[in-house]
Parts: sequence; structure tokens; C-alpha cells
Amino acid sequence: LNATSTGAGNMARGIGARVVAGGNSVRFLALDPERADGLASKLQDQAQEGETATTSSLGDPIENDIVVLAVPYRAVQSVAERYGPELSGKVGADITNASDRESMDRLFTHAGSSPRPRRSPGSSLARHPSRRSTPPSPARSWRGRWPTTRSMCSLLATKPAPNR
Amino acid sequence: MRTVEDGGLRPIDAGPLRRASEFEALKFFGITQQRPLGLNVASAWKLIS
Repeated sequence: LNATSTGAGNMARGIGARVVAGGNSVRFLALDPERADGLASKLQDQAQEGETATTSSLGDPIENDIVVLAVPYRAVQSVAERYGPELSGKVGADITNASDRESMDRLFTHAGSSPRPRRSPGSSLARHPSRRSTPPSPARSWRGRWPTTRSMCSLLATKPAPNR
Repeated sequence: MRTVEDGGLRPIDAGPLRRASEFEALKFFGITQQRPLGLNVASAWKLIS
């Protein structure tokens, strides 16, 4: 199965390399197409059969069956707003990092919450910990349509030594 | 799973998606220990027996 990555940063590079190594194609949807083009051409050079590494602008339609969210945690909301209905039936991998990088003393997600429910970005994120005060975000309802989602983080955690 | 396997990784079904909550907390704890232990961002948890 081919994969689409929203984002073209370091995580997208690592995951994209594995996708291409397996003979599958990857497309990067990026805000910065120039950076994404550089990444795609490097991966394309590593392709051995017919697999491709291509880029497109974030916002363009997603055609692949697997979608990797390789964007900053706070950007997930906008991705969900743009793509929500289109993601139905696809396999999603949410690899975003919910750490509060400023304090490094908490996660933006709630302890005991499931599955990785998100709140609206912005001021309410940090200041209103009460779950009841926050209406369900588009990201949350969108997640519910992904029954087959597994955290790509858990998959990466089992990575053996690179075999090529 | 197949695509992950193709890429040379060993995919593991770690249970229902609600387990992502605990996994996320584990990862976060790991991140906070990187500096005191002198590890880099590629450090990882290993489950052994």
C-alpha cells in the first residue's frame, strides 16, 4: 500500500525512507514544497523498482490508503479541518508529539483519555483543563472514523538495525 | 502492517487504540529522561524478558 505524509520534516523523511525501501510509494504534502522536493528526489534515487516519491501542496487531495500525520501537534487541527471526510476508510498513523515543549512537564493530552483526544488549539489548550468545558473538536470526530489506526510510534519503537 | 513490514520493520499489534494514551505517556517520560541520562532523541524503550 502506498502512503501519504502530511508534512515533510524529519519524521516524514524517516518514515518515507521505510515506505520506499519496502517497494511502496510515498507522497509528501508540504507547506514548503521546495524542502519536500529535495526530500522526494533523495528517496526517489533510492527506489529500486517502480515505487515513487513525490510531493504536492498541503491541501491537495489524498489519494493513498495510508496517511501519516507528520506535522506539529498543534497543526493536526488544521489538517483535520481540511481533510476530515476524505480520510474516511483510510489507515491513519498519528505520530505527532503532544509534549509541552515549553515546560517539558506535561502532555497536552489528558491522562486516561482515549484515543489521543485533542482539544482546539489556542489559548483554551493551556488554560482550561476541564474536559467538559471543551466541545468535541473536528480532530476528535475525525479520529473516530479510523478504527484501524495504530500508533506509528509503537511501530518505530520496534525498529531493528537498518538492514540496508 | 504489511507496508511497515515491507520497509524492514517488525510491526506489533499493541492492542486497541486507547492504549495509545499510555504509550504516549511512556514516551513522554522517556523524553524527560534523555537529558539526565545523556541520551539523544533516537533513544528508545526496550521491553525485555
